[in-house]
Amino acid sequence: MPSYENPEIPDGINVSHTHPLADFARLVGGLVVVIALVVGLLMLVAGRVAKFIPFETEIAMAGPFAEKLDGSDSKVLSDYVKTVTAKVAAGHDLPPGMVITAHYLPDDTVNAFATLGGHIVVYGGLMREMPDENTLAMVISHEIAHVRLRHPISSMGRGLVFGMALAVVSASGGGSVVSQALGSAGLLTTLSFSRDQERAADALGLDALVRTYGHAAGGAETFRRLQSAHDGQLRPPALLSTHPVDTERIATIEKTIADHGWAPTGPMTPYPADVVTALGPKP
Amino acid sequence: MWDLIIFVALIVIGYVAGRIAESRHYASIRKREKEFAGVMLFASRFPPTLEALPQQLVSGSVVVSDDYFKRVVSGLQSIIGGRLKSYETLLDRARREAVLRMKAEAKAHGARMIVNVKFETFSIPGRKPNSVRAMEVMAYGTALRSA
Repeated sequence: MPSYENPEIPDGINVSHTHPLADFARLVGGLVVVIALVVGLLMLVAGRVAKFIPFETEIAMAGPFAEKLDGSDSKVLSDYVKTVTAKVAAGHDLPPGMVITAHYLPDDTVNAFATLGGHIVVYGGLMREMPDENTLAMVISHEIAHVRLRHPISSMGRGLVFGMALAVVSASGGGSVVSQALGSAGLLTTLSFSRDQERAADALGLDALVRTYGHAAGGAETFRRLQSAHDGQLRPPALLSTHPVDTERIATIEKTIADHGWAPTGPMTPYPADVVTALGPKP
Repeated sequence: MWDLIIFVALIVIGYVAGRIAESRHYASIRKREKEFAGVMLFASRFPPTLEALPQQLVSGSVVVSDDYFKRVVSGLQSIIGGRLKSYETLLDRARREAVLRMKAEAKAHGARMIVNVKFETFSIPGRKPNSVRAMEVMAYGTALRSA
């Protein structure tokens, strides 16, 4: 019998020597990039397309939740906010069918927001921070501008697409984003606007302020007040914040006033006496 | 959110447990391959000697399952295609283990060579998707006892 032998086979010739985690990172990274691109594109499309949803539909969507926005304990303040809103809304060239509903909430938050269905919420904290009607009107005018530019519905459209995309990864996580965007929580909080949208609302809001009062006084003052109210709070850096930095905002507004040749000062309308009493002092 | 946490936890468990099992298994395979080096394998149907030697069918079989990490990586890889690197070590281990078990059987019969060595591979779930993902690798051949 001839001599035979089985030579020792070199180890590891049938396997790849890439580290499994490196492989994993490469695949997950690629997937994340592709998904981010697709979702980003869809969000962009949803944001644009949402503007074509009729405003009546938006009102109907917001209907069931709108009553939650009426938490006012003061009829004087509630009526005053509605009066100022109606006054400023007249200065906006609102398309037919677009109704603005103002709400007053007696919270110390220095804020106001616009949401679906033309609902605008003004907090007591903001009213106390603003020295007169003109500055308050600028904030309300800014929020009306958001509604007029259909920002709330496009923001909700983006939120929905994001939630549905997230639902593919995590059913519960995505589901909660979707239900937030559609539910009352979404109506109250989750709508966020981009910096460009904020700038557009500033410009349009200022324009309506001038139409209402005949001068632009209060336009820039509003944001100076907001800036000082926000001082001392922790704020995200400019790049991360969706609102333009206040100083940049004030400069833009002053430039807009100068460019249009609007009167930068004029007679200020004070708060009526009963409103001042109802508001009380700053806490 | 919980589904995501569970998913990540399963990946981590799969990776850690899979790596530990794999390195232990490879260590054991290398050790036993030296131990059974005396039993020679021939793919040929014809024995290297024309002597009439006592014959015996020997086989060795192993069933292996992937771990969650390997499954996720291969699932991602199968989107774009290409080499399923995470399964290469799994099947390499399974083939070598099957051969070792066959050799052990042959050695127990006093054989020093196995001719006509062949492999069979079966998928346990068959064509059912979403079932357990496991493979059987079987090696068999004809052991020739030295006269």
